Amino acid sequence: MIQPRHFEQQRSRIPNPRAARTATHRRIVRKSRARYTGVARVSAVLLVALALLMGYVVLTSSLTGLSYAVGHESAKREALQEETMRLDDRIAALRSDDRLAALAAKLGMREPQQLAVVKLAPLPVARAKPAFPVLSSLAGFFAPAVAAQP
Amino acid sequence: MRARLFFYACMVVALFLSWRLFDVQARNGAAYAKRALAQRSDTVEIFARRGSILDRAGNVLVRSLPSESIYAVPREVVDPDATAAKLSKVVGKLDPGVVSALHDRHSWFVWIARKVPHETATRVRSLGLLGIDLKEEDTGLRVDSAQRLASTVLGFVGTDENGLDGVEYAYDNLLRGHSGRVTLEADEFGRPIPFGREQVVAPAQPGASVQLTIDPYLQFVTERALAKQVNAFHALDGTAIVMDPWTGEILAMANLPNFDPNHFWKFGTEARRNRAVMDAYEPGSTYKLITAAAALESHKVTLASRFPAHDRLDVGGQTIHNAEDGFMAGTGGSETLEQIVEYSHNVGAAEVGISIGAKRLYAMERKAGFGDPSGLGLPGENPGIVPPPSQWSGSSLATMSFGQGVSVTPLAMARYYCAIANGGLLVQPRIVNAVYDQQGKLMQRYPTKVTRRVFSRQTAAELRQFLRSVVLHGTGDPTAQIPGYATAGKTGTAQMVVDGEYRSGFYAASFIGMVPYPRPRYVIYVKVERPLGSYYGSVVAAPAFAEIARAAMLHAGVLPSAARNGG
Repeated sequence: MIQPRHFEQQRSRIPNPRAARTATHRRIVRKSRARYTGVARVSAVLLVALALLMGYVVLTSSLTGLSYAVGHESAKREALQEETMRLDDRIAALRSDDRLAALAAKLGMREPQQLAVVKLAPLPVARAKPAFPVLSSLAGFFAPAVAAQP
Repeated sequence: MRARLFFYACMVVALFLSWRLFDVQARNGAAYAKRALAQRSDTVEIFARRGSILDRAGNVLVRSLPSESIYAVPREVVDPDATAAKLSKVVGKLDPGVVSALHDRHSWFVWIARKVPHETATRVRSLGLLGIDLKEEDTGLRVDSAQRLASTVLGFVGTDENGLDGVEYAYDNLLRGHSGRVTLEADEFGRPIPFGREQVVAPAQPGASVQLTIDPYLQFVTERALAKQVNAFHALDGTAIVMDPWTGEILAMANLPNFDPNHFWKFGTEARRNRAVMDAYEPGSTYKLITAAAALESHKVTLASRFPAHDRLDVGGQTIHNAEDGFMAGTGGSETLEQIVEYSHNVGAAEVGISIGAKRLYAMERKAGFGDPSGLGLPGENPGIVPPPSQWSGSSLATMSFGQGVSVTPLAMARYYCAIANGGLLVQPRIVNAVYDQQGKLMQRYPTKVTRRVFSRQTAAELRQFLRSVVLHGTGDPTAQIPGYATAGKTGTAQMVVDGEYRSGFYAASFIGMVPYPRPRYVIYVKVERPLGSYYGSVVAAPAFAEIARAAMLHAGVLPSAARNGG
């Protein structure tokens, strides 16, 4: 037979066994936390350092990429400048008087020996077309006769 | 427990590595980087780009372009003959030495062609020949776009772009710039690593651009007119100069024969001479204007003074004759100074010289700048030979009065005629207008320099009148005349001294004139040496003067009088 008195005796010694259990659990957790807190802190510091390092690597890599891009663009600019100079030289060679004279001679052209000045009559000044022809013609009606002469 | 130990061990290793990383990268990073760079870095010279030569309008006459050279590694050439044949089609016929070097299987290197144009380099690259490669040159390829135009003035440069003659040589210090030094990362063979670290120790300073006074159109016209006469009379050589008498600017300076500066090595030294400044010669009748100036300045001779007209004169054991050119003096009459110049009478000039004396003539010669360098600054300028009276013989005064026994350069003569044109001032000739840096900023301007007054305005006006008479009625009629423009000038026909003695058939035909009269804008000098057929300055040189003068006036926008008057 089970002794019920013994059970009662135990109950009496721990007035609130539930609280006791919770406290025990808390103690265990606290002890466990205390055990790993140092590791966690060190790990956190390392993680931050690693993140910084990674950031530095990423920035350096990006900088290198940009340097390459700048280098490429500089090389391209230099090549274009060189090409411009070559083209300038080509233009100068094509425009040289010697070449043009040779081409003109080939085409049977000769320099003019006689020159004449052709005097041109002054060009008539173009008048703006009136927006309202009727009003304009009325204005002309009142204008002095001299002004109407060409 | 074991797991914990392992964890701590890892932590220790990680900490150690972190510490090393920090030590290498941050703590001593700079020092390590410096040591590493020192191992793979090399300090090299950066060549400065050579400056350009510009014409008076600022257009480029000569420039430096980036260049490449072709080389071969004979060990790697598969078929030397086929390779040589393919290369010959692009770079021209290969030197036999190069072809045989291509066959040498033990050879590592041979140049095929140095400093080839970009197009040639591109074509060679596209051939894709094994064992043939290209190397970018440090110095550029000097390119003269107009080829022979003003070549004897511009000069040329060597393979390493150092000026060897002409303006290229005279202004080499300004054109070449200053080399820089740069430290860069290089591989084990010393080749720069692309995009490696570069540190400029001293930046290269590109050469300045030199702007000349040369007008390319006038230069072209002058060369063409000179070539026409030189070819027509199968002459040995020729020289022509166009100057602005008011500023001393050389607008054109032509010499024949000339050369292509892009291939200067193919031409002899005779073709590369700038005869206008290097070659002194006996000027002959064009020198009579010095005698005339000395006479007028002495006030012993006036426009009304008359001298006995003869065609022959015995002086100091030598007989002087007038040229048999249809303008002989005859005998028994008399002539004025103007007529002596107009008809170019040697005897009359000798009489004028004798009347004023050696001292006055020599003083005028020196005052006119003969016997001194002009100050133009081009290499090899000959000051000429004007001996002092103490060294003269019994006939020297007489012969010098018409340009024998002295030697002057074409430039010195043109300069003297500029003084006649501008009212008596001796201006220093100039070939360079200004110097600009690579950004186009003005570094230096060369102003007009008046050396001294040679004679009075009155004398200058009278001398111009004499020259006008020469063209209107004298030896310059009609070859130096231009319809629609008033010209003035003097013919010269001088016997040449060859091997120490005057040789028959060896003449220097010249004409120095100015346009328009009476206020000249241009002084034009033309000389043709050893012409065949005719040798008179009026026949050989004056037509070139007329052609140049007409083109110059039209170029300046001055129409002939008939056109101006609506004719």
